This record gives sequence, C-alpha cells and structure tokens, in this order.
Amino acid sequence: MGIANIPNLGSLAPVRPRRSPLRALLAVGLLLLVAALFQTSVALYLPATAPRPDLVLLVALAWGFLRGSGEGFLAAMVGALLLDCMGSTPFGLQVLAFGLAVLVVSGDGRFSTSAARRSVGAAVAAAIVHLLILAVLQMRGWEPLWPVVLVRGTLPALVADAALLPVVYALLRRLPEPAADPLLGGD
Amino acid sequence: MIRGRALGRRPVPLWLSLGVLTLAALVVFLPGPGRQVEAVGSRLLAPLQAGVSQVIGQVLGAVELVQRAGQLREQNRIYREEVDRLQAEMVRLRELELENHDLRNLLGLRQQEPPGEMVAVRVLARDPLPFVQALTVDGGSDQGLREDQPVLTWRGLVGRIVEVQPTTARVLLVTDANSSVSGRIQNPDSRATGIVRGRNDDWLLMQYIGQQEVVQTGDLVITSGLGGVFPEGMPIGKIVQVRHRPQDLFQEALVEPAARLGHLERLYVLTTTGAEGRVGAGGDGDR
Repeated sequence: MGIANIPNLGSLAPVRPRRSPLRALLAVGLLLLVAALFQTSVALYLPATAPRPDLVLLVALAWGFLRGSGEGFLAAMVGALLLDCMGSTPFGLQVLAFGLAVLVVSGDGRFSTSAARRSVGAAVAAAIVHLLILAVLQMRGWEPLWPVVLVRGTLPALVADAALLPVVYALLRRLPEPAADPLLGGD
Repeated sequence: MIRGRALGRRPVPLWLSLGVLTLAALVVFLPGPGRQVEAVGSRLLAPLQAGVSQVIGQVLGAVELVQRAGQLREQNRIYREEVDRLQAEMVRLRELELENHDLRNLLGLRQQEPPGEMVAVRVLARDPLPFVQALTVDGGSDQGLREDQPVLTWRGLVGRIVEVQPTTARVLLVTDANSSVSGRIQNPDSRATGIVRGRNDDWLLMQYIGQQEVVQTGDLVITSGLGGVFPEGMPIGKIVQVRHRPQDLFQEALVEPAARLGHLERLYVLTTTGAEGRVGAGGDGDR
C-alpha cells in the first residue's frame, strides 16, 4: 500500500458544526419583538393592579449576562426603540433609561456571576428604568403620585422582573453560542 | 466553547455608550426628528400589535365561553327579561321625549345640540409602563383624530387622546393618576360637582365635593362639561363609597368607572361635539 492510500484518521474525527452568531442575533431580535408585543398587547387583558414585568428589559439584560455588555447594550437599544414606538412616553426616553440601566448592571460583570446576583441585577435595572422615566416625566410637567406609582406600579414590577429573569436567562442560553476561534481554542 | 473572548463580550466603549445616551436625551428634550421616527415605527408595529391582541382576545374569549357554558342559559333568560323591560321603558321614554319637545317649544328653548360625530377605533395595546394607564388605538390623524378628543364606550367615558400619529393614537385612561375630569353627581337632591381623578388602579376618586352636598352610594357621576375637554352628560361611573369627615373642607367619593376598562376592545372617539366652540379654554379640571 502506497503512502497516499493511508487514510488520514484526523480528518474523520467528529467536527462540531460551526453555528452562525447571526442566527442567534436574529433570534434575540425576534425575542425582543415578541417581548415588546407581549408587554403591550397581553397587558390589555390584565387587571390594572396586576404586576407587569419589563419583559424587553429582561431579554436585553439576560443577553448581556450571557454575551457580554456589548451585545447586551445593543439588545437594550433595539428593545427600547421598539417600546418607544409603542408607548406614550416621549420618544427616546426608553432608549435613555434602558441604556443607562444596562450600562450600570452589565457593565463590569458584577451582577452576572450567580443566579441570585442576576435577579438582583434585574431588579436594580428595572428600578433605574422606572425612576429615570418618572423623573423625566415629572420634569416635563407630568405629575406622578409617587407613592401610588411606586407601590402599585414599580415595586410589583421589580419583584416580577427578579423572579422572571432566571426563566428568560435559561431560554436565551438555548440559543447557539458564537463558534469558537480555532486559534484560541475552546474551554 | 469560548467564554469571554467572542467579539460581543467586549464591553461597549464608554464614548460610544455616552454618545448614544446623549443623543437619546437630546431626542427626549428636543423632539422633532424623533417624532418622525416614532411615526414610522408606529405605522410598522401597529399591524403586529393588532394581530397579537386580536389572537389573544379570541383565545381568551373561547376559554371564557367554555368556562361559562353552564351559565349562558340562565344569562340568556335574564337578558330576555331585560329586553322586555327595556322595550317597555323605551315606549315610555318616547312619550317623555315628545312631551319634552313640546315643553321646550313652549319655553322657547333651543334644541340641545346632537352629541357629535364619532369614529370607531379598536384597542391595539396598553402602554408598556405599569404606571402609565394609556392605550394605543388603531385610528390616527388620517381618520380625523386630534389631541384632547374624548374617548368612550357605550357604557361611558374611557379617557382622552393625548398623542396622535397618522394611523395610531394614544389614549390616556380616566384611571391614570395624571387624568382629571370635571364631574357632576346625578342625584335629584344634589347636582354637586367635583374633580374625578385617576388612582392608577381600577377606581376613580371624586374630590372637592362640598360638605353640604348630598352624596350617596350608587349615585351616577357624569361629566359636567365645565373643563372644556369633555362634553356634558357622559357617564363617568357610579359612587361606591363616600368619605365624609366633618373636619374636612370637602367630601370625597370612590367611583367605579362606568366603562369596563379591563375589557376594552372597541372604542369611540368623539371628533366633534356639541360643546365645541362654546366652551373656552381654562376650564376647571379636565386634563
């Protein structure tokens, strides 16, 4: 048998298929849209006093915890733009609030180390979003009854956000990870 | 699998994030181009919102129908009785209308203006923020909708338009803490007026009712027409509780909204009212 006929066993080794990160980005974009539609359309059928989680914020935060603050910030901007188009607050306010919240919470990674910290991070981010929006609305002449909006709107939302973040995080973990760079190796 | 090395894991540069946030702040405080982007976004997203809310409404309706199948027969019987009673009432009201017409003619009073033109709209979505009681509807400036037009159902007042896009509009509900309507109590012993405010829950609070006024549970509260936004006589709700303390300057009443604000689908926007042109700005409370 000539050397040319010796099979190259290395080439038969199982190769992990490279999955496109674009697919994951499209999937998270779709999830942001679905979350925005749920946050506005499903809310129609809930009682006024029912806790209303910030689903779009949760998707952006969970994505940031999974993929780093860069992609988290991008997801937050896309989700906030959707909400700005669907809500009655001044255009750009959700972008401002989401951007600030995601920068604070997923910026240095201190909230992404454990499930409990991630839930606390979700509550902190939601608090930043709600308080900033309320403050800006008040600056623009809106008169929020602070005790009412905090007790009936913000606090139940923070609790719901903290409880739901693990679910959203687990859902997003199922999306394909970016393919490993062969030069750097995998872990 | 790599952790911490992919491109997306790089933190967003501070100058970029601050730049984006500054731009957003400028758009918030200097609206202009932002409104155009919002108009395009609303136009694109409104069909999606309509589809989702319609599907959810149909699913919930089907579930409710199955759950309540047993009650429907009894409800049907009650409705038949109600129809009979209302038909009898209608005959009586026709007689009263004729009598009223004759008496007006005798007194030389001009006929009250008709309620105005109404545009039917469908609810697309609720505001994403829990502390803003507002809805998006599928009518806009293309249909003749404008800011401050009253929105109602056949049961009563729902709110007013606060923002208009070409194909959609935002309605601030009467239950929003930022909403106030000048109301009048419909009680034979009292025509007291007050300000009906939202509380960000399912109820309304009627404030500034004079201490000497007779207010009873079950009294109907209607719009007084004094504020300039809402025409007179639209049902706001029914009083369910009265707070009367001698040491206070005014009485307060808890009001249950006449419109079922948790089950809104089809609404009507009053695009022209009999009050238009007669009631000037600077009213006493419609907001």
